[in-house]
Amino acid sequence: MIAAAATSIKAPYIDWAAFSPIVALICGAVIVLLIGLLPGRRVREQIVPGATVLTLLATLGLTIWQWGENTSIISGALAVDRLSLVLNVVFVATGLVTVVMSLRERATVQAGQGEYYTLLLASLAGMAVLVAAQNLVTLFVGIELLSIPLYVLCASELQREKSLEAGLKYLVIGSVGSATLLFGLSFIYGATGSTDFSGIAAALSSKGETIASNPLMLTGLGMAVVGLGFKAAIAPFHQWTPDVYEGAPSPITSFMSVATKAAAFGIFLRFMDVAVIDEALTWQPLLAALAAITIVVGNVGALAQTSVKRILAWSSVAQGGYLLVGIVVSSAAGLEATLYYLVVYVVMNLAAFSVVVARERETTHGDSLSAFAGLGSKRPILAVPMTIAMLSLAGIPATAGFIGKLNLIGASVDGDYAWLGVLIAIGSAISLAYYLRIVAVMWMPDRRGDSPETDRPHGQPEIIGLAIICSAATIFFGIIPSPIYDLVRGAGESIGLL
Amino acid sequence: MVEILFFIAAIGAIAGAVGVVVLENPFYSVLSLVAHLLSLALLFLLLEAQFVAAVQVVVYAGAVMVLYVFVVSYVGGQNLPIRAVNSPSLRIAAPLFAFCLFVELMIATLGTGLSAISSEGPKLAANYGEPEQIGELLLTKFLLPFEVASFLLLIAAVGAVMLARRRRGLDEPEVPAPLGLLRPAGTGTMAESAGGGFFRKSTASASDDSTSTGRDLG
Amino acid sequence: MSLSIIIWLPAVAGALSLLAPRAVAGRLAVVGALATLVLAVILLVGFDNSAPGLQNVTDQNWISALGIHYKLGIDGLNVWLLTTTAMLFFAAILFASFREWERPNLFFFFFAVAESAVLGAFCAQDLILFVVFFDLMLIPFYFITGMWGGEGRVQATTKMVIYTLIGSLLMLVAAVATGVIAAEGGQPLTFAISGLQQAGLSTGTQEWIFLGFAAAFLVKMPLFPLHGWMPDAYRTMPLPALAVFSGILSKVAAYGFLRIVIPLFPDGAAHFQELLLLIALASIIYGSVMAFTQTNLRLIFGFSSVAQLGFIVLGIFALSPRGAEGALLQMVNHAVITVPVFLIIALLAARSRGSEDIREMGGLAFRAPLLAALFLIVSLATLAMPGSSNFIGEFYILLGVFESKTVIAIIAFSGVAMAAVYALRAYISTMHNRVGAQATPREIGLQDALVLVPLVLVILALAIYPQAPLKAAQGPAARSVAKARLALDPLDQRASTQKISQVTP
Repeated sequence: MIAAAATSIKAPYIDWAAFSPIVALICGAVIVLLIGLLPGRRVREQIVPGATVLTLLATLGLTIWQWGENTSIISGALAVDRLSLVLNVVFVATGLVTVVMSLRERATVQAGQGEYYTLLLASLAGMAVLVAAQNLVTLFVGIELLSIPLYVLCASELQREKSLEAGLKYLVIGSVGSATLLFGLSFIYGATGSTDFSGIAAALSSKGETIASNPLMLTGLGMAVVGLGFKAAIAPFHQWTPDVYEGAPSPITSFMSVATKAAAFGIFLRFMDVAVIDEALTWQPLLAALAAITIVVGNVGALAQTSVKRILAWSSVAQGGYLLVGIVVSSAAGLEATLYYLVVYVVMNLAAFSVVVARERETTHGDSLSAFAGLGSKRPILAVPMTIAMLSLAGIPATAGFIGKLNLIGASVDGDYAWLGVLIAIGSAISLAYYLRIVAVMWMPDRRGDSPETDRPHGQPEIIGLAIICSAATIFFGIIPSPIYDLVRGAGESIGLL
Repeated sequence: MVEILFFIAAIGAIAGAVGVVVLENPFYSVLSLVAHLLSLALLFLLLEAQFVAAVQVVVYAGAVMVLYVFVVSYVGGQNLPIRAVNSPSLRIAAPLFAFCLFVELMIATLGTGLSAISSEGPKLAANYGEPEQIGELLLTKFLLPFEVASFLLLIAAVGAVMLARRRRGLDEPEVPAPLGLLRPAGTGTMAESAGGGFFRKSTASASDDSTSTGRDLG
Repeated sequence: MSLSIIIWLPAVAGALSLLAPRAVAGRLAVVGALATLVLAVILLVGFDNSAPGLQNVTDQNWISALGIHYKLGIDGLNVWLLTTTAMLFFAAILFASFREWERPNLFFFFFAVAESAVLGAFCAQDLILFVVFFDLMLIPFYFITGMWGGEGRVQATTKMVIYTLIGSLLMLVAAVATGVIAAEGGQPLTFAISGLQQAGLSTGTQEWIFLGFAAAFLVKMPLFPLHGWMPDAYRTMPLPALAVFSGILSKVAAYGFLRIVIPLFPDGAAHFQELLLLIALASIIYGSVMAFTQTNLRLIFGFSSVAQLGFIVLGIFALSPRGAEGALLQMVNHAVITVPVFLIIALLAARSRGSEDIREMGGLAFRAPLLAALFLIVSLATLAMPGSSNFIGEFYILLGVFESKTVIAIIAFSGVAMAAVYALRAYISTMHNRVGAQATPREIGLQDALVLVPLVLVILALAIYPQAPLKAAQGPAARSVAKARLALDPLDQRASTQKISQVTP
């Protein structure tokens, strides 16, 4: 009986080589968890982060090993192609930076290093699964594996009320998003009878009916977009962002603001540009409206803030709006522009967050603007990277952010959405008001009232190093952008876009 | 027969769901939830999904509900009143949005090719919904999601343990959040936009302390 | 000789001065600016007026994925502006190096970077490269104003940056759109200005793209309805920086019209000709009236430059070769007089305990004849005294406008008259009249004279021989407006071709 069943089921072929980066992350997470159980302070504070870094480096190595691959593995659950590989690099880089930022973080002690880093790696594994997902089930499992560790990590500073509040808030709202997404996905399955992206596309084109004439599909798509919008913090589903970003421990905030965003946009790109690409004309106006709202809401929301983490939270909402423009145009140029901007965004945002983390530990002002007062003369080594990051986020030339915006505007004009390009320009101009506020606080303090010296400068060379590396990269890629072009080139074709 | 069962189960499911929200005694809420889940199981059964129905009963109505009852009997029963939403705009907008969503879903389900409703129902294979078929799918087509889900459960357990335990011997016993005072009003927190919102902060109670019970998180 | 050397030399010197000890930071920047000036003069001497097209071209792939080139070149449109820029920046940096600054390393670093950016903007022959330099030249002034400015500096500098970058970002969209839309016919994507001239964009496209560029340039100058940032920024910016800011950065915008907007979007330019002429006219009137009512010297000359730039735009949008030549000459003239004016204001302020209000000055001429003479020459040049180079420039401009828009030219004449009023008022109330309550008459110092006297000599030289820049400008200016002229009046084809052959000797 058992033997008969075994012969009737043919186990799917697993391309272990192509699957290896995700395997490395998952195994690494388990190993780190086990190491964390060993006794001894040294184990906790050095070996656990060390093992995490090793895991990430192994993942990076395996990703590079698989570079150029373009296959579909494990019965079509995952796609290993340029899009997922590029984003893997982004995730690993963000993970490495987060580990370095977390080294002296109180949250790691309170949560237990083993668990903290395990959750981090698990979240990364979820992201890697998510951006490679090419059926609805994998998509949902990936998004949950990404989110659940993050809910916990947000609350990992267990003795600070705000951290717990952030975790709970993120949990509640994230669950609403997930539920909406799942509901939408089930509708899509109901309308097309397939969970595979390619199957959905085939069903849509073979039935000869458009999304617009099929309310089930339309509603499903709408709810899926809303669900993904929650994860990507697209307005009007961004409400949780400032509170959660502010409450979470800063390394986790930084991780969320770049990696989660990259993952959410990665799957957004793949889903829109593979599963429902034939119906682009139907959903383009919807996404264009969302992009416009996001750009405006994000930039205007940031204006009144006094906490730098909240400013960066709103700014990340606005940047999400820019990223959405590349999805709206649904072309290879748009996809590559979005991917390009994601890479750039990661670099410049990490530069900003490393300075925020450093200042949070040096002063008693936390992350409020006053923690940055007069930084230009007191600590130029932190002020310069922060300035570069702010100028780059605003899209000033000679920084990577400028080239990123250039690509997005080019893609928008190319896709006949020139008005979105104009909106990017106007949004950037509004954003200058708050980015420059941070710059002005650092370099142009009030001459009369010197801020009281509350600094407790202590050596944290690793964070300063991070800030310098990230900001130097921002400038470098602003002047010599070709390496990033080489990285993202072909991502559009790899998923079959023109 | 099928129709009668469907309507019984449907009414049971909706009544159960409403009961969870409306009933004030947490025990009754949980029992109402059990009724809801059992009705759902019946619906699954009507859809020829015997395995899912069984799992629904065993896992949700059985195991999870027992946990809920435990939790309620440990920490529940304090009978804290649920505060009404303060903001009038929210009080109007929320039902409005809910209604819109309801209408939209109705259009989506009724207005499309749910051809199965009108006819004899879908043509299903003989073994549809049996454990064997589900198992086969989980080991072939959905192998990866299945395995990832197991990893997800492990991670969820780790997270739960991490949040639940109280570590002893931390560096210093920290005073809970004096920094909370630093956040000025009007910075657009979600709490403000929801008119008092999720958690009443001790700092926010100055503005309207009539409804505040001074309850803090933790 | 490679233009890259000229462009980047100041920035390199600036970077060195950032690392150098405080005492020599200024000197390093001065050396860099001087070397740039020498190279620019050599370039000017070696420039061939008769050769058509670009000279000293540098062309390299910068962002190959987008077809963006690092392309530099000079022709009759920019060679004089380039040299003028190098000269005036040298003067301003030298002037600044004689003074004490907090954190001098940073100050001179920003100053030098600004020079590089301006030179780059003048030389750029690729749309995106131009936008990059155009935006980049704002950043040093943001920091200079914010860190070394006077009262209300942070607000003023933020306002300035936001105003100008709204324009610049719209220009970025317009520039990208130009390239992308031009490539839609299957041609390779390129942003080279020379390559885009052949791309026939549809009239509708040209119109909105034109507006994007115009927004950037009109804010930068600034002209009348878009000048909101100007008074605050002028009031707080340190004077050596203000001198080059007012004198040169506004010219980049005017130059952008001639280099990019009119040749690339002739239909757009023709379509909006009257709008631009009216804006220019409004600026002339408004600027002159405001200059007459202000008492702060910085604002008098700030509003005076609004009026002067009104004249320049008037000349450009006459869309005739004559007007364009006059505009180019006037750009050089205005740059050359504005810088000494603001440097003199610095000297005057130093003689009245920091006050820049003309009501608190006066009576300096008796004790400081040299300073008074310098100021007199500059003032007379400002009011376009017959015999000055400004006179010739404005004459050409008005002649160009007169040919097509007689009424506008007649009204614009009143601006010339009003210039006399405010320039003389500023001169008389500072130099003559009673000695002001705060004023301590003192002759100009040797060091400052070293800066100002040569500048004034340049003004005189231009007055004697204005043909030099005019000759260089003739051919390119006519070519720049030829297409727009055609678009304006398709029947006038014969006449315009005739004109081109006329002005190209």
